[in-house]
Amino acid sequence: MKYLSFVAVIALSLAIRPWSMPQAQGGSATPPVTFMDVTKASGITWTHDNGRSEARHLPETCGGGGVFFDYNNDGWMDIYLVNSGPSDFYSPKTPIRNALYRNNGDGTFTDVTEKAGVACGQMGQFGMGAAAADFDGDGWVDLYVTNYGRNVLFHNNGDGTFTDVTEKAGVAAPNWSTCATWFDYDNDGKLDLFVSSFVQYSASGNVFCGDNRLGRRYYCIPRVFKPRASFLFHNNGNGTFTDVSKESGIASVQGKSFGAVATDINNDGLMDLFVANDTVANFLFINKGHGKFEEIGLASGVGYSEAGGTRSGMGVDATDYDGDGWQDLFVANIDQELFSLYHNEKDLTFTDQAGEIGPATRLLSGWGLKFFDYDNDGDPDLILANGHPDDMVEVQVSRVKYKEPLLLFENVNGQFKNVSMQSGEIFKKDFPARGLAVADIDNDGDLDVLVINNGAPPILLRNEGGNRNNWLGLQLVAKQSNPAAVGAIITWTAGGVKHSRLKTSGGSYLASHDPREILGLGKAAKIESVEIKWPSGKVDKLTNLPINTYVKVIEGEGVVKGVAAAKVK
Amino acid sequence: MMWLNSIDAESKLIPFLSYPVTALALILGLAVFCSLPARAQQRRTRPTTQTPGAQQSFDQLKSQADQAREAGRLEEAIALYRKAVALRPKWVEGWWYLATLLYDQDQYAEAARTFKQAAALQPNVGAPSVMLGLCEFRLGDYDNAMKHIRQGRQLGVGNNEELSRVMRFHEGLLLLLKGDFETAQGVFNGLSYDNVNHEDLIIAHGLASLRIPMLPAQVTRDYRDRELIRRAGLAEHQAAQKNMSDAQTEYDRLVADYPKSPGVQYAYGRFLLARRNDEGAVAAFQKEIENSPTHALARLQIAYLKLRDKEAAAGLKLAEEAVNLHPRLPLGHYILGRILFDTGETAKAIEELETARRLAPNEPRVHFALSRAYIRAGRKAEAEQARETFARLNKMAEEAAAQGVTRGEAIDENTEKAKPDSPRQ
Repeated sequence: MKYLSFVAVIALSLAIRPWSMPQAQGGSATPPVTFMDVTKASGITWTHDNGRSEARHLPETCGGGGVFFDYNNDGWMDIYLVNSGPSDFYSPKTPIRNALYRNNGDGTFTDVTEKAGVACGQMGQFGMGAAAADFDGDGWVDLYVTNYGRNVLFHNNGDGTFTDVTEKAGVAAPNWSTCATWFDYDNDGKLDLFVSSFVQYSASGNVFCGDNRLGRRYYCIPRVFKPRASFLFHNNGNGTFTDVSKESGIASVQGKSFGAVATDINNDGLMDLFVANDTVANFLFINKGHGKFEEIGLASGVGYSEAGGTRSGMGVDATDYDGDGWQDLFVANIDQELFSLYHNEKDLTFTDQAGEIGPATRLLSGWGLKFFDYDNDGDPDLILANGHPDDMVEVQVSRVKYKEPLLLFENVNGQFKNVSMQSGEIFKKDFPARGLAVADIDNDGDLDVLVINNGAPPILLRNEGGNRNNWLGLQLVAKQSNPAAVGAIITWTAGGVKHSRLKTSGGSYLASHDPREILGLGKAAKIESVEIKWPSGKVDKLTNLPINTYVKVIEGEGVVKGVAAAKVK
Repeated sequence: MMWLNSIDAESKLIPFLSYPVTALALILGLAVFCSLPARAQQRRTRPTTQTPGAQQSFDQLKSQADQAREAGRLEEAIALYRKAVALRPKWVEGWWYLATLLYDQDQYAEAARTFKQAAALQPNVGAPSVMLGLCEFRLGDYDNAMKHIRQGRQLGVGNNEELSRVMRFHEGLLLLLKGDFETAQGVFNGLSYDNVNHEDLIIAHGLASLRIPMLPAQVTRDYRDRELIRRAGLAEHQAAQKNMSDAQTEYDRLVADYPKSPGVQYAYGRFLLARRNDEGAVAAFQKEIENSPTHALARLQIAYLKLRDKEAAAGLKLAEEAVNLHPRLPLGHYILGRILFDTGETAKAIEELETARRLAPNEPRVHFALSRAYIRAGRKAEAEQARETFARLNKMAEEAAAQGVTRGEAIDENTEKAKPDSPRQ
């Protein structure tokens, strides 16, 4: 039943094109793909409240986040947005809540938060971000919300409502969590959970940073606070988790962790973790198997700057940007530190090959970011959401601003070219951006973007023209592997060109993304083959596939019969 | 001008360097008592086994000494405390009162011996060592002064903020005299940030920023460059207090009034770097090179900015010049080595970095750069060793920074680290 509704949605969306889809222009010059701000038209009215105070408590400047997920299995990506909330330093004058917006499939969204029961807003729920995944494999995507205070795991009841199962699950991870990532570290077919811990913080432990002369406070550098170990929770498969942080080695190092991405840096079939730290060396946890991780940030070259200093790492992501079959890494830092694109040298070491990205980000501070193939040419491009963490920065330094522009880089033969200025008016504006998530919100085959701003409304950006290139969307349904198929390797050939993509998890900052995979085909009129190597080891080889539509692929069974043909129409 | 007046006025309210006798004695007495381990406090209050007569004599002496001190009869108090501690050599408080009174009577040599005695009685308390260091500072014994002040800082001086400030200021002065201007500036910045406003601190800022290894006391009212030093110091003081607009104004005026004076453009360039005005900073460093043709650091600043911005080749010539001008400067070899590494000259890079390592064996960054260069050269064992050395030294540096003074760097490779007590800027 779920599948039929999914197919119907896709067919409908392609037939009626609810959001006007630009057509390829005649003539030789192809217009650039652009992003249009459709926030107002979408009906999303929620605004992030950062709770900014005279005391300048650090959590105020670190949120908020957001998630794309299909909570009601209707085939449309819904949106969950995370707000601040009551804490030991903040008592909101009016209630503050997170928001769940249901995608109506016509370009608009409806706030269904209250019915769903995911508002949060209770004491100890000063929100940061969230991560969505079907942790119990019941076919309904659940939601994990990170907070300064106590995290919350919402179980999706399948009827439009959620239940807080945090206590039973044992995943509260108290104090201050930032990013969370669902992945299956032991390949047992169940989704485990990594949770980034930021600094030890409390209202009473706040430190004065600012102008002593005037008594004016600024946000402190996290260096003045103590680090903490992050959490790894093993999924027991019965609705509970076991905290394996210590025995796994994750807690062997103390960090001030923000972004985290699960990927496989050495192609051994075990998912590793890259974690950004602020004023502490970044962590690269290599999965040694048998439930053990080893931190190799320094030896691998991703822990420190080229000068041997720690940086303020915030957002991260992973992809194979140059198509050599090895996962590369990205980390965004604070201004003056430049962002790093770490090329995988295939021997557990990386070299920073940021190219144009380095100088372009010298005055910027990066948070949300994502490798995504926005133009469907088959290779991963990159979008960066920026904003300085200190709202007083302009008082202190020239050239650096509190609100900063988004940046878009196109991957051209493995080199990233800054195409921001030609990609829409939105790139000429400045934002206090934090979280960033990508999804195909209109099911038109190209990836749209959600940016969550600190103390301001989010912006929803619709991709205009990414689907001028051909594409094929995959919805992977695991049977033996973990429900999100994290770790699956998708290889496809179109127009004689072979591409490959590892299904990573996490990435960006305080966000999670559309779980479907859109394979960019460029101008190729057909897709010759698709091979999916599942984390279980099973391989599905797919041929005679349609293009410019979504198909559902079941592990070990391939494409559901009859669906592809229906979608071609 | 109002700002200048306010500093002068405020300086009279803060007993920064010359404490009134009773104030210092009280502060130090309190500091010592508060800093004493519980066991030592018990010992202090429990008299040693003595005959009743000796006990009576000691109690009388103590009472008389306290009365004389409180009445301001300092010579008499000193004599009585001397007798009392002779009678009871483990009387900590007595040694303290005696030492601080001697210090305030400018009898630094005897005060030093007395503080040493107190320090021996309290090996886990920092204040005696700090005071011993201050005496040695007054006596011109700077090496021992540094040793004992640092020893005292590591042991801690309790919650006595005034003593802590005096200690930090003198450590900064000693760094200044040693020519470690960067670390000295960090110390002075911390004091300014803590809202200490004193003429000596402003002069010290000026000396450090202009890289003049002198003490503020030597910059007398009629000292030739006093006005220049003071104005540079005031700009730095304002910047450290996050009063950037006034600091910018002060610096703009300074470079307009003293465009050719050695060190001014360099200091201005450093200030502009902290304000993220890289282009302005480069222009200032270039002017400094015109003013001071042998200025190696100005060259290295520009070279480093090129390196940082992935334009390493553009910094090569300047780095080479800096190394030729100042071949004993490890920073020059380090920057040149990294530029050569980035431009693909791995063998030459290793040569320069190994020179930097010889000159500064405890500098973690050099080992880090060397590990990268060895990897590229295929020298895996050496790379591993360099990486391990980096990790060890880096950990030590972080631990040292957590305990107190952060070592300053001419090249602030981590903009956040450069300002230990500041917010993100």
